Amino acid sequence: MIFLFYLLSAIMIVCALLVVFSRNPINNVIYLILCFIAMAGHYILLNAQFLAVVHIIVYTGAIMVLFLFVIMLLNLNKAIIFRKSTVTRVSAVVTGGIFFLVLLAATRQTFEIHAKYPFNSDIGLVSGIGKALFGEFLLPFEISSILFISAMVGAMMFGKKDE
Amino acid sequence: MSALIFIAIFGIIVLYLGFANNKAILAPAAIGGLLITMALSIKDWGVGSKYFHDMIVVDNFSIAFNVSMLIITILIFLFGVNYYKRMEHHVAEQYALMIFALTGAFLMTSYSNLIMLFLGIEILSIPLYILAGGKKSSYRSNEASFKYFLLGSFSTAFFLFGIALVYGASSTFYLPEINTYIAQFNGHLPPMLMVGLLFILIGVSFKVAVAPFHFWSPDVYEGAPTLVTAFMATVVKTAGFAAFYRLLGMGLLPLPAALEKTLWVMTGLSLLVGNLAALKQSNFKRLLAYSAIVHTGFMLLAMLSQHDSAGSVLLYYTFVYSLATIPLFIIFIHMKRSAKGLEDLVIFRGLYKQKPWVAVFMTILLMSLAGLPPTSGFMAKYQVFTLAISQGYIAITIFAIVMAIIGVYYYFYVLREAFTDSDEPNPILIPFLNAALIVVCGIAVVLLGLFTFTIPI
Amino acid sequence: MKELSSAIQLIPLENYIFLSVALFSIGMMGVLFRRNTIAILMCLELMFNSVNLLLTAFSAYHSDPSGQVFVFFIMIVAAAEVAVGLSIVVMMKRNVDSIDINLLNRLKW
Repeated sequence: MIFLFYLLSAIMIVCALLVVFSRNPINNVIYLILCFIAMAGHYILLNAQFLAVVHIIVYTGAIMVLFLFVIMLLNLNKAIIFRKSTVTRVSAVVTGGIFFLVLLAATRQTFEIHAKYPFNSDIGLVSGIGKALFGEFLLPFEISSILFISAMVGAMMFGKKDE
Repeated sequence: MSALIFIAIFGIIVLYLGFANNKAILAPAAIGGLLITMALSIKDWGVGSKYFHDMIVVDNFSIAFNVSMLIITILIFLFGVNYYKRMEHHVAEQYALMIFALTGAFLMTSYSNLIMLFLGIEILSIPLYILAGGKKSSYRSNEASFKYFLLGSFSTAFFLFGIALVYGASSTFYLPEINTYIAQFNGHLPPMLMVGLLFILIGVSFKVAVAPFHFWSPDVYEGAPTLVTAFMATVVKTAGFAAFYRLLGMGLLPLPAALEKTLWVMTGLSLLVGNLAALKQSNFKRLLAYSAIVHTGFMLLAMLSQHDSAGSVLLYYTFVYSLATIPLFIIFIHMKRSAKGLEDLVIFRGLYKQKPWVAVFMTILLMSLAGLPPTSGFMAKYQVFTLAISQGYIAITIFAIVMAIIGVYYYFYVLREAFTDSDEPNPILIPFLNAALIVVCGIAVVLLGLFTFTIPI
Repeated sequence: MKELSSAIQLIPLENYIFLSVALFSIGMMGVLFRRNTIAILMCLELMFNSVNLLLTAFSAYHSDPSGQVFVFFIMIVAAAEVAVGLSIVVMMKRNVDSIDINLLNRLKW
């Protein structure tokens, strides 16, 4: 089990780094999809089956396809030459590294985290999530429809050509 | 609660009104809907109840802020009647998106769960990303939209990371429970929790453009259509501060020492950076953006005092600030149109010669922003300073007073332009409705200064 | 199923925290590093996903479903944001025929 964890983590980290450093947008999308699939594996390891399925459907199935679609639409499917100046890139890497170390230091001295409830392996199943979603979290669930309708209006407004 | 449900549905109704192909009915319909929402909100005054497993807390604080934002939005919609006259497409969408954003703002004033805060911020932001890019063919508008979107999402990621860390430590998203959890550490928070709280603060400060996280605001204010800029400078700021206050008051008080220091530094930086940058602005919208950053500094000072009456002071401050800002944008847009699209301060030249009464009202409004008596801006700043001093924040208050005095300079720089004669005067046309708005807001700014209100919240 | 559920108890929570901190930092680095706006959006997705992983891990360790429900909401918001962001990119491309982030320099100081 531990082996599986390290394997999935290694895939994720390598793919994430490739997303950042590979220059062809199509390759970026493919690496990101790989990264997301490994993440779905993590979700299954964590007993969050519902999230694993939704993750695959939403991210890999919808969002990444949207990315691919836009890349094809704008005809960007070859490596683009423009690069940031070396100073910017070096400072980006340094910032990322320092940020990583700081966060690591902050979260390393983990104090005793008390589990809220006794261990229960069923909370990530569809029934557990569904009960929470339509009970306690009914209002956020309904209100998020406004988010979608405004995003839809926006995409339509920007996409349409005005005469 | 009924107000929230009504306004959510009403946004969709306005969207459908766009099919009628009649721009004239949009603004009256939208304003009517907002008035109904206001009535529904006021109906709940003094009741104080929680809904949907404590997701939403409707108390006097949230109602007062909601009503204040509704009034401001109505003023903006009245401004929109003339502003959108020349726009051919998507006018209904503009109104609907603003109403959707207002729904998000309502959530931000009345959440008690971090999920609702997150959704509120996003429902407020996504329509704004779209509205900022409303002038599709203008590259500046595109750029403003994309910058706002990119930096907004970036800060949202930090905000979410903070929520995740806090959740990991406390295993809850409810602010009151987080508060009891934090209290058990007696101010010595474990680093993980500390980082989480800091990231949440960063996320909220970004939305209100507090100094180290303000870089988006001048660019976005400048690039966005003027009406949207007015909306961002007023409603979004009010909502952001309501959310900020609720976060501190419900979840974090008494503030842990490190967070208090962070807020202290952010207050000082906002005052300093905003003032210094405003001194050398030549673009009016950018000037107002930097002046807005200074005002966030003053509002943060009220928040820093951690006193129960800070909510009322904040409400008064945001309301009079918004009342003074909207007519300034209205005057600006007419000067800009008469100067054929220029946005520099020189466009105000010749205003006194042609429309002396507008220049007089502009003086009152700028005096209110600068915080000079007898306007309400002075009373707002006065309340903030007395509150901060009574809680022992002497040094930062003195600094704030100095900064307020420096601020007078750039407001009067604008005024000087307005009272100078121009070499080639262009005719300035101000339609009746907008003129009425300027007059009403100007008078309200003075009257509110004479009769200050405190609301028991 | 029994075997799977024991995985949570085998892997220490710290591992998941480190993993998501690493992913978050990589995403942040990417946002600063890249000039292609679409790649920047992808790096933002990476950041959101590291948060999702962290929340799921905490939720599993606390045996509390609300964390996973939050992940669900983050996915909703991410989907909406990507739709808006990509449409802004398409609009920009239509106006200037490039998606280089360094062209965003007309509004300055």
